[in-house]
Amino acid sequence: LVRAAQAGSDEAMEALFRVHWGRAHRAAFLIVHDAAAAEDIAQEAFLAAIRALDRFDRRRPFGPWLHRIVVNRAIDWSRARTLRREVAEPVESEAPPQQSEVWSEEVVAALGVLDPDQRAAVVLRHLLEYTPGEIADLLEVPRGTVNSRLRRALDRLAVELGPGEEERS
Amino acid sequence: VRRTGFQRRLRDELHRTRPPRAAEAERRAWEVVRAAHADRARVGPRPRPGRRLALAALAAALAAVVVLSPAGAKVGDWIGDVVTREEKTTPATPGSLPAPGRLLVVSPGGPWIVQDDWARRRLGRFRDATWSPGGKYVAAARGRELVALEPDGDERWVRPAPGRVSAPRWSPDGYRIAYRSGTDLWIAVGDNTGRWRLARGVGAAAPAWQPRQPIGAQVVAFASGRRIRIVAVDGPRLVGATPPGPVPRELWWTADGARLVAVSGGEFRVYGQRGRALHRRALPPRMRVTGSALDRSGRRLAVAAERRGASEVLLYRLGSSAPPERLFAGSGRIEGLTWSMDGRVLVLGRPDSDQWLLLPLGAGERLQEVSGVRRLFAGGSRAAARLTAPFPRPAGWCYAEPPESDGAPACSVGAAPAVVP
Repeated sequence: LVRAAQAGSDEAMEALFRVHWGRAHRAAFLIVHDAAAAEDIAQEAFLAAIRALDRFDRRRPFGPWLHRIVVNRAIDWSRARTLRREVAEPVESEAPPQQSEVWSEEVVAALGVLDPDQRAAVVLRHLLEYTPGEIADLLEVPRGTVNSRLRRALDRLAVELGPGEEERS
Repeated sequence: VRRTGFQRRLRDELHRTRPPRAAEAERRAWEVVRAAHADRARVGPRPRPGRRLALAALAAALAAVVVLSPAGAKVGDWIGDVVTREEKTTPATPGSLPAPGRLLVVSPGGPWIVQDDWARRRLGRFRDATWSPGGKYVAAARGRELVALEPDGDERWVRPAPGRVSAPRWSPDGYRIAYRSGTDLWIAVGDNTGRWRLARGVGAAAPAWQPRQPIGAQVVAFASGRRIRIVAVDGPRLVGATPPGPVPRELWWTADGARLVAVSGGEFRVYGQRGRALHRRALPPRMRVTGSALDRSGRRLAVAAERRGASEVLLYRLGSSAPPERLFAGSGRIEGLTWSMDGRVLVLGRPDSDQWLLLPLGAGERLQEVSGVRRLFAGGSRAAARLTAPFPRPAGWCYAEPPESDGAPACSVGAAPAVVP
């Protein structure tokens, strides 16, 4: 797909986009907890990928490269974020989110108490399913740092989600 | 084992996640990505002859319509009305700008920077543009992107947006840019380190930053239905809102930041800095506003208005109930009003005559004319040179040398895109 996209194929580009968009967008959302910012971050990552497409080494997988951009940008965004709520009332035409599109709010809220680095580690490990070694490479931090972030994050999530969560498992 | 089970449940929950309105986000993102990929492909090795032929045929058909249709004939009539027939096809400029500094011009061919001697540089194919307060950068709109440019046209940074970007306005402290994305108002950090949506469903008037606010505590006014909201963008915090009134088309702050002027179709209103209504002036009967500009001092408001094919430019002194002074009257439409930084010259755009008039306000000074304005700023684009194309408008003026002991920005915000009454 990357080779065909490099050659200019719209179909290949669309296939790449469809394969990778969902996970990239979801990962960004889980880290930043802001739908508009997540869309922006994932979109920017794809645009960065297109700009660098000619230089991309086809022997390497596309996904980790994209995820590295997404997660690092999401961490940067979260760190820079201060109180930035909207002040205007929502317009009437905007429909509330469909219930089926909203995931477990409990777990989203629990993730929200973690710092951005911990959220990124959880998302990379348990959503994108990278190993701690791969996460260390993606984030350019020591493997021990990844392990400690994951451990602290899971401990905190266990507390936030309450004993019921653990007992069920 | 207990932890493994917990992790498994966490993984399942994470995989079930769908961000709100994910399908819409995917559709929007794919449009942007597809366009970016198509742009890349266009400069690549793979021409698409079928598509090219179709575009050529479409262009030929459109050209025939313009030349042969009654609308084309109407354009021919306009040509007969201009001041001097020979100047409408041959661009002619005065020897120098009538006031010192650099002028930013937005045309269908893109934004241009005009130097004192009328030397011009096109910045690229952007649709809208505005100066940074010190004139070091230009913020421009390109489709769904906000772009910061250096005055030589180099792109400093690019920020994608969810909707079509328009009306960028740089804050007086230089650290924030307000812009519309679709119908939402967004704020970008001036060095591209972040952005956030400030409000949804805002009006068409460009946002207006309040002068003389502390760094990091900038305040912007924007139209929201029949009200104007005044918001401190970092926080954000609602500072105030005006009572319901006519939908504003242009918003101006006075230089001291104490008054907000909202110009609508048939009147303008003056508000306090928290939105309290102070003053209202109606235009003469049946006149419809086609443009306005508040001078840098914030004391003189020029309003262009049209009635039955004739236009006038009226000068109101804020805080005075005296009748307005009529600066100019003539046939056709007038738009794109812009003051020079020193307040000595008012630029008027006359799209029907394809000319700008540089109107001096000092006694004994001569009115100057710039003709062939569309061709002057077409940048080689035939479409931009046509009389049916949007008319180039001055989008801000910068001092060449800002006066000392003057805390105001060195650059101004110029004319907003034309409004059709």
